[in-house]
Formats: sequence, structure tokens, C-alpha cells
Amino acid sequence: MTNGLGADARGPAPLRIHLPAVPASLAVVRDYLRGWLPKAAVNTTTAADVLLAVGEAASNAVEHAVRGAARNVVLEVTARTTATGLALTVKDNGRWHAPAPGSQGQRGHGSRLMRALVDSVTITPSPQGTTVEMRKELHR
Amino acid sequence: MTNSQFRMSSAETEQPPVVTATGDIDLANVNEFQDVLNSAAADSDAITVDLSEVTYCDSAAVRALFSVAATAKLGLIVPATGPIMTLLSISGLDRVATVVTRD
Repeated sequence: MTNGLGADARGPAPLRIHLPAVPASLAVVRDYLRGWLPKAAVNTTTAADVLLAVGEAASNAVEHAVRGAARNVVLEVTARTTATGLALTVKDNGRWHAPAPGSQGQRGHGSRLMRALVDSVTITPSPQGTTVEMRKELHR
Repeated sequence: MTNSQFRMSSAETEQPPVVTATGDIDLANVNEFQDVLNSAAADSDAITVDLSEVTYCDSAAVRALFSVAATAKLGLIVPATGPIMTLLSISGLDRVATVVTRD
């Protein structure tokens, strides 16, 4: 998908971060996003919402994807501008684990939180890992 | 490991102890936050947690707060702006804690 020539004039270059799916990486992701979001002309309220939505997804990846994984799990976070707002992805290559009994409520909170903060959330689990795609409309 | 990010005030007479958190709280430091909450709640049936200087927190912090709310009456002071009220209401923490906003 491309935004055409207009996107270059309007938005910053897409952000793509690869890093180990460990707790210390979460602060690194926030640092990059805190630098990138103002360049995408995002106001402070929206930036804080996006930071939490992405942070929650990344935290879930670190917590759940690593559990029992046989290999080092990598986290990938991307952010780009679209014609109408922002597209964000949080992806890990950890094995998908069905939620343990009793953990469903907590996981439900995580995805409901993301849905309250951004306009759309699509979570795609697969044997190769989990991808969370989010859209935030900017109404500018 | 430093706990300067999470401080517990000495309890004043008839007042619950206050835990003051600053900066970002995530999976990397939530255990420190939990430890300070637990020690504050160990000797008191009520605690106040001041999150007004917290610049980021997510479900990891909410879980720590829920666990302390199970044993102590919880009061929260939160920033007036930012997504923290969304976090509290989606998680249901605002139904087990008294929440005060501060500018």
C-alpha cells in the first residue's frame, strides 16, 4: 500500500523497529514513538493514546509470546502515516499460546483497551507469531 | 535497582501511607512498583497511590494495583489529562478504587 507522492511531503518516513521481545525493549519502543509521533503532526492527547495502545500490544507480545518459545523471540513495531491517519503494527515471531484458563479476562482487557484508544484493532495469531494491526484516524 | 521512582511516605497519624510513582511503569519495573505497594499495604488497611507524575503505565501497573486493592482500601491520584482514565475504566480498577484527578 502506498500513499503516493503526497505522503512524503506530509508525513515522516515510516518507522520500523526490530528488537528482542524482552521487557527492557518496551522503553526503547516508546522512545522511538515519542520521537516519531510529533513528526506525524499528532497532538499530545492522540500521541499518548497511540503510545498506550502500541505499548499494551508490545507488552502482551513480550509477556505471552516468549513463554515457552524455543527460540529468541523478536518484536517488530512499525508506524506509518496513511491518507487519513496512522497505521501501526506490533508483530512477534513467538509461538501462539491459547490463553490459559483464567487469563482470558486480563487479555480481554488488553484488547478492549486498545480498541478504546485507536479506531481499529485486528489481532491475527498464527503458528509463526502474532500480528496486531491498528489504525488511528486523525480527522485533520 | 533503585526505588527512587517509587517512594513511600512515612504514614502520618490517621492518614494512609502514600506511594508516589513517577516516570514510566511497564513490565521492566512493575515488580519494583509492586514491592513498594506491598510494603505500604503491609501495615495499613488503606493506601493512597499518587500517579499524577506518571508519564506512562499500562495493564502491568493495573495488575499491581488490583493485587494491592484486594487487601487494602485503595485511593488513586491520577493526571487530569492522558489515557490513564481510559486504562482505569476499561480494566474496572475505577470500581475498586477511589480516584481523584490532579492537574
